[in-house]
Amino acid sequence: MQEVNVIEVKEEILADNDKRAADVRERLHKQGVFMLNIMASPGSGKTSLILQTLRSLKGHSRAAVIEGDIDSSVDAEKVAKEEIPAIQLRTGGACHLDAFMIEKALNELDIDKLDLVIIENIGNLVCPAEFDTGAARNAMILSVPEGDDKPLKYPLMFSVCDALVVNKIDYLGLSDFNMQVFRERVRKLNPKISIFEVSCKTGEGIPDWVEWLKEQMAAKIG
Amino acid sequence: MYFANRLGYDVHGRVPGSPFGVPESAWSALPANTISLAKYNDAADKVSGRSRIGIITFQEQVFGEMHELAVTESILKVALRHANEAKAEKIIRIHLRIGCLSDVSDEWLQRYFDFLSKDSIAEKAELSIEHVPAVFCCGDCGESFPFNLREMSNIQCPQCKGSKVTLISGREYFIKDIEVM
Ligand SMILES: Nc1nc2c(ncn2[C@@H]2O[C@H](COP(=O)(O)OP(=O)(O)O)[C@@H](O)[C@H]2O)c(=O)[nH]1
Ligand SMILES: [Mg+2]
Ligand SMILES: [Zn+2]
Repeated sequence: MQEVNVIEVKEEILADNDKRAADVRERLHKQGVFMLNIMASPGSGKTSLILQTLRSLKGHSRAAVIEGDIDSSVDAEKVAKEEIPAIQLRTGGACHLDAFMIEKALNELDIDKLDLVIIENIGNLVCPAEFDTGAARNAMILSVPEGDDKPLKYPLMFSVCDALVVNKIDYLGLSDFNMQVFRERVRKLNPKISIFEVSCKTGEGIPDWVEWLKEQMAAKIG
Repeated sequence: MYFANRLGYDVHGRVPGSPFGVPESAWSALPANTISLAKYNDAADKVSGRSRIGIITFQEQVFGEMHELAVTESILKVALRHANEAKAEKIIRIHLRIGCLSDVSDEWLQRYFDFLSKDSIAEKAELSIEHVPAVFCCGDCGESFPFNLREMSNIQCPQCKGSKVTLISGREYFIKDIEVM
C-alpha cells in the first residue's frame, strides 16, 4: 500500500487568469489607456449606457469598445455606427470574458490612438464577477425592473464593483422598487461603491456617471 | 479537442502573414478601416462601408453557459502542476475553500472535473469543497457574525443590532492542498 501525502498548494483557483489580468492592467497603465468593464444582466442597458457614455465623451477621450456576446455582433454594429472602433468577442458559449480573451481583443486595437476601452461583458450577474478582465475599474448595471432584491441573490457581483449604475429609473413610478432599501443592501456588501441613478432613455443622471468616469480616468492615468 | 482550443484561444481562421485571420488576397478587398475579421464568410454582412468592427470567434464548447468549466480547468491545471513537481503518481483528493458569495455548484464542478481529468493522474480524484460562510463585522461594536445572504434580507449585528456592517469573508476561491500517492 502506497503512502498518501498532502501537498500544500495555497493558490487562488483562478491564479492564471488573475496574473494575466494584472499584466493587462499594467500594460494599459503604461500606455495611458483606461479600461472599464461593464457587467449586468441581459437587457439591463449595457449597450445603451455605453452608447450614452461614448456620446458624452466625444472630444474628451478616444474610445474603443470590446463587446462580449455568445454568438452575435449586433452590439458591435451599434457601436460602430458611432464611428467608434469595436471588437466583438464571440465566446461560443462561455458565459464570461476573461483576461486571455481581453488580451486578444486589445491586440486587435490600435492602442496608441486610444485613451479609453470599454468592455461590455456577457449578460449575467454570476460568472463575469469571478473573472478579472484586467480593467482598471469594474462597473455594474442593475435596471429597476429587475427588482431591489438582487444584491441578496448576486452578492459577489455587487461586492466586486467600483460603481453601480441603477438604470431605467423612468420605471420607478411603475414598480415597487425601493431605492433606499436597495442602496442599504448594496452598501453592506460594498461600502465603497459609487451609486448612480440614471435613465438611458431620458438621459437623466448620465452626466454624474460620466463625471465619475472622467475622474477615475484622470486619477488612474494622469 | 475543444479543450485545447479553448486554452489556446486561437483567433478563428487566422492565417499567418495576413493581418487578421483572412487570406491576404481577401483582406485587400475589404474596406481599409476594417480592424479584423474572424470568419471570412461573414465579411459581406459584417463589414459595412464606415463601420470598424473586428470579430473574434472562440471555439464552440461542449458545455453551455457554465463558468464551472473554466473554474475546473484552473483547478486541474494547478493540481497537476503541484503533483508533477512532487513527482506524485496519482492525485486522490483536492481540497478547496470556496466562499459562499460564489455561486459554484459542487455537483457540476465534480462532473466537469471527472470529464477533464480523464487519462491524467488526477483521474477519479475527489473534489472536497469547504464552503466558507459570509461573515460580517459590526462597525459599532466590533462583533463578527456569519450571515446567510440568501435567506434573510436585513443584515444586522446580533450583538448590538447595529447595521453598519462590512463583509470580511465569503469571497474565498482557493486551493488548499492536494492528497497524492
Ligand atoms: N425605459 C427604458 N428603457 C431602457 C433604458 N435603458 C435601456 N432601455 C431599453 O432596454 C432594452 C435593452 O437595452 P440594451 O442596452 O440593449 O441592454 P443590454 O442587453 O444590457 O446591452 C432596449 O430596448 C433599450 O432601449 C432606460 O433607461 N429606460
Ligand atoms: Mg448589449
Ligand atoms: Zn454590533
